[in-house]
Amino acid sequence: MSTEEVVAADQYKIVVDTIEQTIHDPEVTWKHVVDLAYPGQADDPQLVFKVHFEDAKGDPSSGTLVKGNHVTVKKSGTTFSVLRSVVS
Amino acid sequence: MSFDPWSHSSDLQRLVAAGYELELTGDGYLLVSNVPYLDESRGIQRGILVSKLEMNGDETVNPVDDHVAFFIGSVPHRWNGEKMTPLADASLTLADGRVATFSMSLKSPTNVRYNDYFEKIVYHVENLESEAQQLQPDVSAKTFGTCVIRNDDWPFEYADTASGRAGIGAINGRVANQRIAIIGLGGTGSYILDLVAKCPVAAIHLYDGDRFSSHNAFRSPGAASLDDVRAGGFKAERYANIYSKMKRGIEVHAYDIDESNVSELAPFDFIFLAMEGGVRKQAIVNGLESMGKTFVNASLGVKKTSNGDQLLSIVEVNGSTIENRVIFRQSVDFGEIRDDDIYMENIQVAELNSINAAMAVLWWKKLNGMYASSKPSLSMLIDTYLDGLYTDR
Repeated sequence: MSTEEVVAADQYKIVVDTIEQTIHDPEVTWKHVVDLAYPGQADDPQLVFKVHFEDAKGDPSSGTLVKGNHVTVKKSGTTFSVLRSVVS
Repeated sequence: MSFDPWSHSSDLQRLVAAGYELELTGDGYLLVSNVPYLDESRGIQRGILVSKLEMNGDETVNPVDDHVAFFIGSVPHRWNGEKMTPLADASLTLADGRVATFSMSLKSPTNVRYNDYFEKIVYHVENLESEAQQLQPDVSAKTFGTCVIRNDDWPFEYADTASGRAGIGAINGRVANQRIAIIGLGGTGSYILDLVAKCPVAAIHLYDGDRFSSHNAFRSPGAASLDDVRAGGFKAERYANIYSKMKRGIEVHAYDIDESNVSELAPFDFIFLAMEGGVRKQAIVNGLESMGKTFVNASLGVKKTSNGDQLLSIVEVNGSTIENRVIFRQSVDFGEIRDDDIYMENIQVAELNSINAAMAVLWWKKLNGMYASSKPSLSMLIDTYLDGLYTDR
C-alpha cells in the first residue's frame, strides 16, 4: 500500500493509545504493551490493565490480550489500547 | 394526587356503575371477573375477560382500536353445544402469572373502532354471557362484586401501560419481587437507578453517603436546577425523591457500605456495584461472595491522549454469580486512584456513565432470562478507541 511506511528490517511499528512506538520483536507481550503505556505499573498485582488490539498479523487479528499472552504484530499498523477502569 | 383511573375515565366509571367486577393490573390490563359462560357440557362457569388497556396517566385512551380480548377459563361454548366463535388459542401471561389461553376478536358492530372501553368490554362480555343466559336467564357478569383496584401491590405509582401495549408484561415480570441494592450513586449509579426504576422490582435500596453537587449534575440523568445544587442534600435522598414520583419501594441509605456494614446487603436478590475501586470495594466483594450473592460491577476508565486534546476510554461490566467468581476476580481492578497518579485521571462523562449503567442493567436482565442469549457472558467491555465490544464468551 502506498501509505505504508518503510520500516527497518529489525523494527516493527505499533500504535499504543495513539502513540507510535518502535519495537524489535514481532511477538508483543501483554507486559510489553502495558510497560509502554504505563511504565513501571505492569507488575502491581492490584491493578488490572485491559489491553485490546486490532490489525495484528495473527488470527484473530483483533481482540483482547490477556496477562501472560502475546500477539504477533504486523510490520506496522497494529494498534493497542491500554486502560484501567476504576471509576463509576 | 394518587393514581385514580376510576374517577378520571368515564368509560371505566360506567363499567363500575353497571356492576362489572373490574381489576386493573400493574402491567396495563383491564380484567372483568365472574363472566358467565358455558362449558362443553353446557354447564355455567365463570371466567375472566382480559383486555389491554391503553392509558395516559389515569385516563383511558379512546377510541379503542384494539378489538381483541383474552379469556381465562375453559373453552367457552354456545347454548347449542357448539364451540364459541370467533375463538383462537392464545397464550397471554400476566405479570402475576395468570395465563389467558383464548382470544376473541370482535369488531365493534357499529363502528370501525370502539368509542371507548365501556363499549368494548360490554360487547365482549355479552357475547359470552348471552349464551349462558339462554339456559339461565338471570345469570350476569354484573355481580356488583368488589372492583379490585389492587394498586397497593403495584410496583409503580401508575399502570405500566408500555408493557401492556407491547405485550411484554410477562417478560418484565421476571424481575418482579426482586429486591435490588445500588451501591454508589455517582454518574453510573444514578443512571442505573434511572433504568431499574422502570422495572417492576419490589424494592430499590440506594446506598451513598455523598452529597449532590454541581459536578454530579453534569453526569447524571435529568436536569438539576441551581437550587437543587445549592440544597446540597444527600444523593440518595435526592434520587429517591425524584424516582419515587414513578417507582414505589425506593429506600434511602445515605451512607457508604464498607466492611463493617456489608451484612446489610444480605436481604437483596441482586446488587449493582457502582463505586470506585480500592480496598472498600474489595471488602464489599468479599462480603457479597461469602453471602452467596449475585452482583455486577460497573466501571469505566478515561484518560487523555498524550497531546491532551482527545479522550481514550473503556467502559465495562463484570458479573459475579455463585457458579463463577473467577472471571470477576480476574477482571475487576481493586486498585486505588492515587492523587499523584499522572496516568489515571478521574475523568467521567455522562455518555460513558449512562452506557455503563445500561450495560449493567442489560447484564442483570439477561441473567434473569429476559433477553435471549446464545452463550451467556460474565463480562462485557466497550473500547471507544478501537470501537470494539469484548466479552468473555
